[in-house]
Amino acid sequence: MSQVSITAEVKRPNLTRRLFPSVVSGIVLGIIGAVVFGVIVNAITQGNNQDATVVSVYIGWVLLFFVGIGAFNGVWRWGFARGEATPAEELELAGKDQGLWRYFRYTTDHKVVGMQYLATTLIFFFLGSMGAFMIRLEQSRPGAIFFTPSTYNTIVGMHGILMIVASIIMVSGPFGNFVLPIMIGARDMAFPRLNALSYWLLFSAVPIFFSTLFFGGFPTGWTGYAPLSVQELTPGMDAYCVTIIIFAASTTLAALNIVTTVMVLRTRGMTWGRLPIFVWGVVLSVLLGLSAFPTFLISQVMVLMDRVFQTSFFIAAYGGNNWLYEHLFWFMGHPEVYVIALPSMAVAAEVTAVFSRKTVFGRRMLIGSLVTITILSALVWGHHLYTSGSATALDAPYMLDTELISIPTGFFFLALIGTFWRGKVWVTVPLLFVGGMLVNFVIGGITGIYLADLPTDEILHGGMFVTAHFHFTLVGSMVFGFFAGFYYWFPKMLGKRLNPRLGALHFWLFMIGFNGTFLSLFYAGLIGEPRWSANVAPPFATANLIASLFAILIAASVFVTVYNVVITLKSGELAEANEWGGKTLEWTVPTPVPLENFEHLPVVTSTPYDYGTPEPLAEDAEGALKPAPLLPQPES
Amino acid sequence: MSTSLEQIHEEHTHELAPHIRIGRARAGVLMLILSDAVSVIAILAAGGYLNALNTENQFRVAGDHASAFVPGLLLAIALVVSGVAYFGWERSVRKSAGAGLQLFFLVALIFMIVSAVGQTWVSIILNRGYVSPYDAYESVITLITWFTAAHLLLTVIIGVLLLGRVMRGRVRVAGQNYIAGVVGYWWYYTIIASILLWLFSLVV
Amino acid sequence: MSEANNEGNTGSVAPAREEPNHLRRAIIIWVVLSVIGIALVIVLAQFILPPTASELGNTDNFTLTLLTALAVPVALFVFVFLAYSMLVFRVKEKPTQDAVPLKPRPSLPIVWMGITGALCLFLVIYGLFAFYQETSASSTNTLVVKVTAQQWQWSFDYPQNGASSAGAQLIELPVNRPVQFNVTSDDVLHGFAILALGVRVDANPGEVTTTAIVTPTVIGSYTVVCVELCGLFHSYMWEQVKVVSVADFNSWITSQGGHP
Repeated sequence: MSQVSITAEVKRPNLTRRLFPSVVSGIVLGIIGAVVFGVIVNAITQGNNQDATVVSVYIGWVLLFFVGIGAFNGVWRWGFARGEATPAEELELAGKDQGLWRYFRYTTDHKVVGMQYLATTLIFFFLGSMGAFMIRLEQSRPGAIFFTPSTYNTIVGMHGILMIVASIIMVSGPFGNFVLPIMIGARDMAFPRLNALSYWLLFSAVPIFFSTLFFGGFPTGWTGYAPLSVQELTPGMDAYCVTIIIFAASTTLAALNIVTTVMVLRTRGMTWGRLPIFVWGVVLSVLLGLSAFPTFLISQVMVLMDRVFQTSFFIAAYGGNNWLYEHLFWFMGHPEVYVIALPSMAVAAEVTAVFSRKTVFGRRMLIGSLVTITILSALVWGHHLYTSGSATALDAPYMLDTELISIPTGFFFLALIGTFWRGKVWVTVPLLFVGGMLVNFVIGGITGIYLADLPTDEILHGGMFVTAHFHFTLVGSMVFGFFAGFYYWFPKMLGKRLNPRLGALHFWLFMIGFNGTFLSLFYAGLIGEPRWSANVAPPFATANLIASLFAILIAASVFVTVYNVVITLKSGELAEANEWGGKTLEWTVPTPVPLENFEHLPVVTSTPYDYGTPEPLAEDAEGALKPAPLLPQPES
Repeated sequence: MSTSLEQIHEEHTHELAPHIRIGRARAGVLMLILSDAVSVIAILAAGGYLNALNTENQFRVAGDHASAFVPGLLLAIALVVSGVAYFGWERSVRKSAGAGLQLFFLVALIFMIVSAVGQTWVSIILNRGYVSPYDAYESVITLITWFTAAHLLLTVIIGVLLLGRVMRGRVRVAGQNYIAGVVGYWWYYTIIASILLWLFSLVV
Repeated sequence: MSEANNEGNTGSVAPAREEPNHLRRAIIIWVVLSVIGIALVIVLAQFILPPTASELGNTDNFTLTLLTALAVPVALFVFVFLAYSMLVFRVKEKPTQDAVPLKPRPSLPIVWMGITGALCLFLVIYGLFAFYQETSASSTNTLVVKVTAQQWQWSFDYPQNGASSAGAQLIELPVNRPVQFNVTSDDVLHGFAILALGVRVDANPGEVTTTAIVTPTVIGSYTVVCVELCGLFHSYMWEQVKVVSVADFNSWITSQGGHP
């Protein structure tokens, strides 16, 4: 607290100003809105259209929630205020002098939004894991033991969506928001208010999503296939559709914010050529998302129309067709896994360079491979439709396309292995997770080839082999990449040092448990177990039992991590400003990071990977280094 | 692409330099348009696909029809007038670097409001000719009609907010008149997308 | 000890005196493990892969074994080099010095692209060829079975024999006669799959999809499962399919109200 301005700073926080606008007023108004809209629509439809009533409840909740949290204030001001916001007003919106309360308001500071995303991601992972353990519990013996098939199908669907949403936001949300602007030398994102909006849209979708439990759940799994989703009589399905629509809006806004930030707010000297790989990964990922998510949104609009207004986009008897849903869904669904993958892969590259104290091996080759993956991934969605009967003439081109992605992925591996090779490999917890990621990604990627290959997909599609494959890629690779980033940036974001032994324990429990569980499930898939098996048939019982036993290790790893985070926050050691010796710009600012990041915006003169050189090296035309002088390297 | 930023401006006020503000506004709106355009293409593709599949020969039964032609034509014309008027205003803002010919803006806004209201009216009476459950053709027409109405209403809201800015003199101010052009991107896009969807509804 | 690789070459030249040639060592470990791995795959495949009842199934099992054998050296490349780096190049605490930068020789990406590209091309061509063989199989004597999926059971019609078996828990197929399934659904999306025969296709309402023509060659009892989530009792949608001799099939068909 400054000693100089006694009069100005002693103003006590006014409770009314804290509470309104804030998430509290948002929730209160949101509930009012939900009730009012629901009552009105119920009256209009005379109680005959449950789906219409439920959807209107959701719309009322969202609209009034945002009125209550103050989101429309900025919109109103844009049009009708007398002048632009003053710097003092902007700083107040950014949470200046509000302490912890700023995390519960419509705060624009990118670091606040990053922390909000981090907390939300971790909560989603926790809840999704609980769903996973329930699934493994049920599947440990044949028959329906703990849950009815209806409950089981809902658990499977909720686990799926929670995890998919969590993995889409897990790197771009917390680290794309907190770290990325600092990494490019900016004071905030390009659109600070939209940043807050994209987070609170996600938040507002959470009660909607969980309301499905009170309305009978939904039977379709995370893919929401029509016409099952249209046929479903319980209104629990509507929760899924509306959640997706809100989530698509949230990620669209976040995407255009991130891309615009990187386009216009890079500091002097930060050319595209000097951009850290993490930034490339996030930008490519959100660009892909920007072009892929609208079809998902439209598919859910169509499902809702079929449910609420009796249209027939997907009802064959009236000219609709489920192939339409499948194409709309997978046109999003495949790029989406690369939306998940690219930021994690980029994190792995950053972490490897720092903990090998070595420049990224083939940096431009690596960036080129990420770009190629981005472009190719938009063209391969048909491989989810090999056995659907739709467009079978295109199966061969889709197979070619899909298998081509393995080539740029191979370059990614080459770059990372080359970075490790002959480095000074400091095996910290982040680096352990990168190692685990690479091992799991090989297995996940190779088993993807089995599925991409037409003859083998004929015997594997829709079975547990698919489930094991996508868990190896999404969880074993990408969530491991998230944890690498989490342990790496935790000291910067929260200022404390996580216990490295507990971190290593987390890694080994997770790695062993994960591999045990999903290798068993690969086997179950090979011998014919279908996906979504509420009832595990006797031939598959042993494999499932082994998988469930290994899952106990994964559960243990979750609790180890929760414990680690809690005790660190309570009484952990303070971390250094540059805890690991990294060279990207976030490690040059103090911890905790000041409100506007930089005293003076930095000027950048090289890539952040110039380890082992006293100055940036000249490159000849082929990109090979000219001979470097061999000097004792300075202290990093 | 320019990569160097004016640091002097930042040092003083931590505010963004004017060309940064212009750049970010343009980039933001253009990406929003990109995303929205993919939705429009998805709707068009869905309509064409269902038409081609003609599942169980039920895509379209005798007696199915799109919205009446003449009201749609009038709305399309109103949209074109709105777009031309907006362009006139926006060009005058650029040339005079001031408030421009505000009458043109009012004309653009009024015609947009008329189109939005008209499209909403079309959406409401559309279903009177249809019988539930609606076949795939009627479903596609319904979606196109309502989607367009939603778009136009959204554009009206943006237009009203912009009117507020114009009245408060916050477009006339130096460094702010780029807003007319940036909103213009969205304005023209909505008009073009709406007319495209209308034409599609006539041929699907 | 300074390492004398100025140009960041990938180390085929042995640098300073006692420094072992890491690259050569790692490659040797990789080759040895790969040979062992491939041998294990070939030997163990027969115990892991499920039994099959048709040529198509056998071909698919062979493809799986081939893919796994090819995958072994690829996976081991990553595992060996990663483990080697994390064990041999490890430093115990926060490093006080940076490592010497390593840049790829210009030929490396090209060679790498060549190898991975060739592997990919092989997989594509093999896959296309196998798929073409599968789908272009034709015959004159095909038994056509019409399959109708509904929540949550399968119904089978034998139009050539005038028989049907709605709701029965068992169907039969004659051995050594090509069969093709025409599949549709009465309500939602289902997935029709007989693993042992190697056929799988979705059941779409309003559409009829067909499997490849497949010839069951082994008499025995197999299962039909549903592989697209179709609601409540999706995982209970099982049906037994027995491959039997022609005589047995004829008597079964007669018992279902049809003629041989």
